[in-house]
Amino acid sequence: MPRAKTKKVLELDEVECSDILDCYINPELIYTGGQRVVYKTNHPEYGVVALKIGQYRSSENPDGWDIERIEREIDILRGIDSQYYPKNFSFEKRTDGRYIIIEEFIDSTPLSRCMALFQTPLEILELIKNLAVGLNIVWEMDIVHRDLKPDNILIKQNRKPTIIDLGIARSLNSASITETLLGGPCSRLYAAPEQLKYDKKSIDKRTDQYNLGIILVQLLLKGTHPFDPKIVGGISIPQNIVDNKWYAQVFDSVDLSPIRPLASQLLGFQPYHRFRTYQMLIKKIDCCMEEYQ
Amino acid sequence: MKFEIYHQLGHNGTWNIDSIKNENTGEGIIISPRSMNKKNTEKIEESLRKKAIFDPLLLNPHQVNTKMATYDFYPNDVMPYGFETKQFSQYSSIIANKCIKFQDQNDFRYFVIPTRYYNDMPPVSTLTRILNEHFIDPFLTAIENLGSHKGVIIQLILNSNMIKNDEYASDLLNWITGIEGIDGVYLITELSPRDKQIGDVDFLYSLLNFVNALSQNELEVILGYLNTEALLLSIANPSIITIGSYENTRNFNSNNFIYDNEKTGQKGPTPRLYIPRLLDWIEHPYIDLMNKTDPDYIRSAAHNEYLDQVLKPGYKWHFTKPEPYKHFFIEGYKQLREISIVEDNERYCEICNIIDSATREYSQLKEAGFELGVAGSYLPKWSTAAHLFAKKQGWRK
Repeated sequence: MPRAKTKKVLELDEVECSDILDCYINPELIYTGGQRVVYKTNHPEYGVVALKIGQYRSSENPDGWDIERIEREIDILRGIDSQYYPKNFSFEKRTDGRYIIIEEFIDSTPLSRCMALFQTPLEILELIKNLAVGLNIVWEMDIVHRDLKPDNILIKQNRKPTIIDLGIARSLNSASITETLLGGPCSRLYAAPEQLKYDKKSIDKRTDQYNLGIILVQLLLKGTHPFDPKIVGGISIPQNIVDNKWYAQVFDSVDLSPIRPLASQLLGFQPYHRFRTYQMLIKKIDCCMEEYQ
Repeated sequence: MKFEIYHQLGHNGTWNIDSIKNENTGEGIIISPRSMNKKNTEKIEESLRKKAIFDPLLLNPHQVNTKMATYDFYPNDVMPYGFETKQFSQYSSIIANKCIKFQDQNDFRYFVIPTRYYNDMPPVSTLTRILNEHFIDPFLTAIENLGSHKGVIIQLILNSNMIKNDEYASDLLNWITGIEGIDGVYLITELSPRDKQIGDVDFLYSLLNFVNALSQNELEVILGYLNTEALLLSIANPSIITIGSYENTRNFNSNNFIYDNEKTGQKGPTPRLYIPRLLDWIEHPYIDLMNKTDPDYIRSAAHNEYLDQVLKPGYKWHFTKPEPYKHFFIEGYKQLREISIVEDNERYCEICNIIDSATREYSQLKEAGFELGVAGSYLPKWSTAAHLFAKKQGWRK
């Protein structure tokens, strides 16, 4: 169906994609950023989808951008069929330097923009449990997400989370985790100490638990980061993470004290301080939840 | 958590087995091929064998004595040109399959994945890479192929420098607790040089923390080759604690595994007797003298037929005679059993009382004229390690 060209979009993103958009019905621009634009559209086979069009190489940048990161995410998502991850329907890497991803459209808001939805300890714990269940799906594939943060958690209407951006997730069996991957793309504000210290050998599933711990306490603090220098001093959040300086006083209140053991263990400075198994983690979350039921 | 008491079998392992059967001095045994050949291992009665822990003992593949040679999984048997480190990876799966098959056929309590011993401190990444490649990965694969759901224990032999170095110990703990598919650790530590009793407070405190970290991770912790410090270490919540007869089963010395010096007939140590209230083994001339000057002293805190025998006038002391060891099995077990039924803070307090009481006992003996060598000089160090550990657990202000 003919479609009016959205010149503005092309100017914004410097990505020539009108020929692709012409193939879809009323694509609605929902995101622009980096080398990527995302549209919501109707796909004849998959229904409502997210159409992601990006550029991995251009005449100005013949060496290209990190297509490996995208391919890695696609590989992982194709192995998952879960409500906690978007379904990938197709991936096409074009010779002209563009790529097209068709993914399940998730009607949602990033957690970073809707933390206030989770008010009570029980609501927060339910979200954390859902995230743990979701993370366990990749953990069982021997994959660590390594970049869990509120921006990468989409909250759906039913308050269930969808975990996105597996671009730096990596198989624990892979021998090629690079320093760049360890330190670069992961968000330093939600990184575990071993990530900030580039301690490659210590990164495993428990690294994601630390990220989860920060999110737990941040939700309990109504959006304030538990390592924020404003509440614990210090010079920066990453430095406070390395110094193991976080606002544990939040659990001094009688109302929140039942969550202290869970949060303290998730934020264990060393991986061995955290939960050795998923079952141990879930058991502890359930124990906490019982306190509020 | 209530812990179990196992016997670390060495030379004359039948003493231990008899003691368990006749005097109920333990819940199980740890078998080592170094002191028990394959046939005898297989002959252990089923009820005891099912509870037994089998230590495959691959810590020094160069040293395979005649008893070990009766098993088919040692590198010398499997590798065509004998053991060579560089070639080992190629044969590790064969060794793992044979060793696991033997463990499975004998239906021991756990599958035990063996280890190598390093007396220095290789980088943790090197150590763990070698242990993963040579043992953990091939053994876990062999167990998985078997389809058994029996618990899996990894053996680790760590030297005191590894334990005392916080960063090194943390890296090791991160590695151990990150291994998928294991249920516990059979931990052996070597303090070298050491006296008969451990007086290195840093080592004891660090070891308590190490064991506690494993236990907190809900791993079974089996502590091998323990002397009377077993009592102190019990506050870190291990699952199984060991007692043994000869000193080489109560004090891990890697030299014993480098040079095969476990031979009968060699000049042995001065025979000693365990005095529970002193928490130590006392040389027999003192025992004879105590018995002569105050016949009730030793008997007042211990009663058993073996004690009666050694205290009889004219008893011929020799380190190869079973009575002193069988006496220890009874009295050492009793002491540990009483401790095992209390937990955490209560166990800590009870152990402090035992240590304090032993310290007072030494003073009284000194007043009575007995100068007993080290005379419990290690006890304040045990108390210190216990107090510092208790403080960390919040049991002490």
